[in-house]
Amino acid sequence: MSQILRTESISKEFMVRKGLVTGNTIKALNDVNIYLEEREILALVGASGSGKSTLARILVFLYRPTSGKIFFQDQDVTKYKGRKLKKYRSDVQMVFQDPYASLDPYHTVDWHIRRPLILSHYKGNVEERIDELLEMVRLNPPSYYREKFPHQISGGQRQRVYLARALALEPKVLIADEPVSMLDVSLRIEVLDLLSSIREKLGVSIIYITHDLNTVSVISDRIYVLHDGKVVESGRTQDVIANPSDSYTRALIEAAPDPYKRL
Amino acid sequence: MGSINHVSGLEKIVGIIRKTKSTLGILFQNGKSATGFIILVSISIFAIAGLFFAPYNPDAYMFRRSLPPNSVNILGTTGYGQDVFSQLFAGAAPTLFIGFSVGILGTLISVFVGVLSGFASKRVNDLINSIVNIFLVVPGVLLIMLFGTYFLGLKENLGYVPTILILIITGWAFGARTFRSVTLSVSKRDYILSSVLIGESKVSIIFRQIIKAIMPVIVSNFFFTAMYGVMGLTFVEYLGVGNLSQVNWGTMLYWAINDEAYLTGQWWWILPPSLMISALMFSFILLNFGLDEIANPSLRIYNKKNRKAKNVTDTQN
Amino acid sequence: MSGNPVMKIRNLEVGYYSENGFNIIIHDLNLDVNEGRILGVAGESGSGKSTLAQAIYRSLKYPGEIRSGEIIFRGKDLLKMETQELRKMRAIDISFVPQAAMNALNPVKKILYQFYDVLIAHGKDPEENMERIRESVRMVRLDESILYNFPHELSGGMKQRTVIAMSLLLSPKLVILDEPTTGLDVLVEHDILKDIREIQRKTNITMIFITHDLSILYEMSDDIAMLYAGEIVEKGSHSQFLKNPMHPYTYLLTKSIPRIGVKRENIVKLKGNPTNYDPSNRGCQFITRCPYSESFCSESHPDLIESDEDDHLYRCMNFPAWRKKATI
Repeated sequence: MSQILRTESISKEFMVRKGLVTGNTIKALNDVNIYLEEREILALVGASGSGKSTLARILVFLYRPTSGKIFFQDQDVTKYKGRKLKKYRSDVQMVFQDPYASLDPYHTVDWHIRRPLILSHYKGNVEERIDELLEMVRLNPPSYYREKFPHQISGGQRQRVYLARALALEPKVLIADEPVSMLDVSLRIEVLDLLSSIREKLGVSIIYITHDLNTVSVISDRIYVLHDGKVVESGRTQDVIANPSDSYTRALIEAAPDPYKRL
Repeated sequence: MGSINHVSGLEKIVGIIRKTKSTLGILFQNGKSATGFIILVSISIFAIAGLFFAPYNPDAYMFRRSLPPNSVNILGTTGYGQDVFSQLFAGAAPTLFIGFSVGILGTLISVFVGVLSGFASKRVNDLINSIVNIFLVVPGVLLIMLFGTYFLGLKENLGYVPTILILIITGWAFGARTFRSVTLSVSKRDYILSSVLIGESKVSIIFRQIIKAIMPVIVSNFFFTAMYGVMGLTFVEYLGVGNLSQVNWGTMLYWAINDEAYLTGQWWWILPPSLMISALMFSFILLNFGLDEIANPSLRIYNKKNRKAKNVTDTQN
Repeated sequence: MSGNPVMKIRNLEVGYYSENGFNIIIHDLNLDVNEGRILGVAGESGSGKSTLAQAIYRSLKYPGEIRSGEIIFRGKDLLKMETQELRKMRAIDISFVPQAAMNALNPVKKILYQFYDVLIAHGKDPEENMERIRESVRMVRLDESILYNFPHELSGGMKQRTVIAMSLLLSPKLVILDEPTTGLDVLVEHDILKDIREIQRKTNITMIFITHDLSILYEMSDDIAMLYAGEIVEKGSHSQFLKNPMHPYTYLLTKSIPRIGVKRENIVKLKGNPTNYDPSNRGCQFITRCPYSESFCSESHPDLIESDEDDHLYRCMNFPAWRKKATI
């Protein structure tokens, strides 16, 4: 297997203004090296403030790293702008945490999936493709969902519509930032299952970002644990969960709620 | 060929009528907007009629001065011997025209400047922001006098153009600030970020998404700017930079106040334009609140009794 | 083991006005809250759990309305109480920790004075009760020095602990916790939950615990009431729920929770979406999503039945038959 996406000592500092003149810098990421293999589901795990969401946003260049490099298919993409950045972004798509915020309330499901197809100059039949994408994310029948507005469908369905929108660009990498944390427990497995079948059927590599080790153990192959902007532990998911070496990882495992346990 | 075109033309017209009907339907969903709309339409009909059917020349000093309402002058006469009703009637259209012009043009400028600065790079944003701030900080009176004297100096008959321009110049900045801040907040939302990520251009995002999202603010800004236009009319006249030979509700009030109608008890001179302006303001405010409730369902209050009755029959069925 | 109920809810009917008329959110709800235990109210979004909490605390606002029913607390019907009486009862007898409670603190007042406000509002002298304030702060494992801080000087978790300390200040009989840790960091959440549990064991306060996160709810609760479409479909103890579920919904929902060590194939996928109470449905409300339904399920509405187990109620006409089809 080859590495599709790789970071080289990525750091990110944010300026925090305190008064008019004085300011502090906060190190959100500190020398982070990760890689993603092809057709892999990789989990980035950490509590809030660990830098996992910052890393996700850097990987799609919603933020620029303060230092460090990003390689996509062995190309240094760190300095990409304009057309090259657009091309990169169509290869690396992101799924947001809150499906109630990531779809435009004034547009239909159809519009959300049509736009990326138009923007990427889709060669085939756009109508058929929209149906195909909706079927792929298990929204059947597509014609029923196409004319719906986001507020007319449930959170789980919205997240699936968002997946269809991201997949319309035929990305090679999908970065999913807490895609199920806003969903009801009963609906989570549906979306996780879908992510996994996207990897199987389309060969998309996925970075799954979460604080919840319960869901990590269900879908991911490999795991990085982030703490205060640093990678504190990495390895195969089963190994890390069975034998955590870092105390922070142990705390996260301990905090993962288990219905069969009593507090 | 011709007949086919004809049919599609007809269909288009039918379509437009249907669309207007549904827009009106939206207005009538809500008591407030319906009332506001009815008042506004009545005033507009009054204004259009006033252009053609004023009983006397509103400018002519053809009556005895300061007559209280009587059978000839149903609203009496001014301190200069003009017919008050004719002035009110003929002055309605210019007043409305100014209000709407200021409302529409002022809002367009505010939206353009505000959205641009809210969605532009940081440097452009800062530049626009400081220009807006200058307009907000410099007192409006100063601007009105400055531009007013300039226009007066032109000595050409520009009609209401100078007044409208002055009111727009002094009235756009506040709206621009509002649009800047709502655009800033909207453009940080995930669904806009998502469009950036799928490769939408900035122009496309502004026209397809941001304008829609800030539409309620645009509508309310239009009403407030239009209100400012009507109120400002009197103010402009009072500062002596308007065109006092024109008849509108602003000049009417100006002359009434100038002649101290409120001290000499000539209520028939001062009250009609005041009430009409108030009614116009009231209709704007009602429309604004009503449309806000339609756009934002959480503000709505449902009629409990009716709903209960309906629900009972539902369950019985 | 059936305890002594501190609160009895009878035939409660709550709903919201909307453009389509009155939508029923909670339908004919009967529930006993047993003393000295944590009752978890479970259910998916839209099941009515937050509405229930607000109805109990009488904090439900228009367009929500309590249509009918009784909530008997210490012999009195809360729904018949006047505002004055209600205000007295709040904090002394029943206290409420709302969703995003950290925003409930007054940003321009030091924490200590906010504790004073609670005491003064209930006619107690703040100076005399200083020891009480200190004790409740210690109880939630905060340092006493936070009393002299402003809310913005504290972290989210500390603020949440402060709100919990305030709710415990007047040693209420019943505390309602509505999503008390939602929005907090996982580790902080875990610590606070552990502390709440410990406080409850020490003081024996009765608690009603509500959260959308089912695994946390199971971890915390002694008794669980499972809501579906505004009705209780099952009520029982933690172990009854896990070992002997009597309603298919309880069984499927429990099995749908992803957790460490369970393979993806073994996690149940519940079909369909949670629905609101549908008055036009004469049969079981769960029928649209139930894989075990029989023809008679659509014919009449199931009642809440007492099982032969102690204090274990269920609302299913097909029990125990459905269990033969399910593999536990």
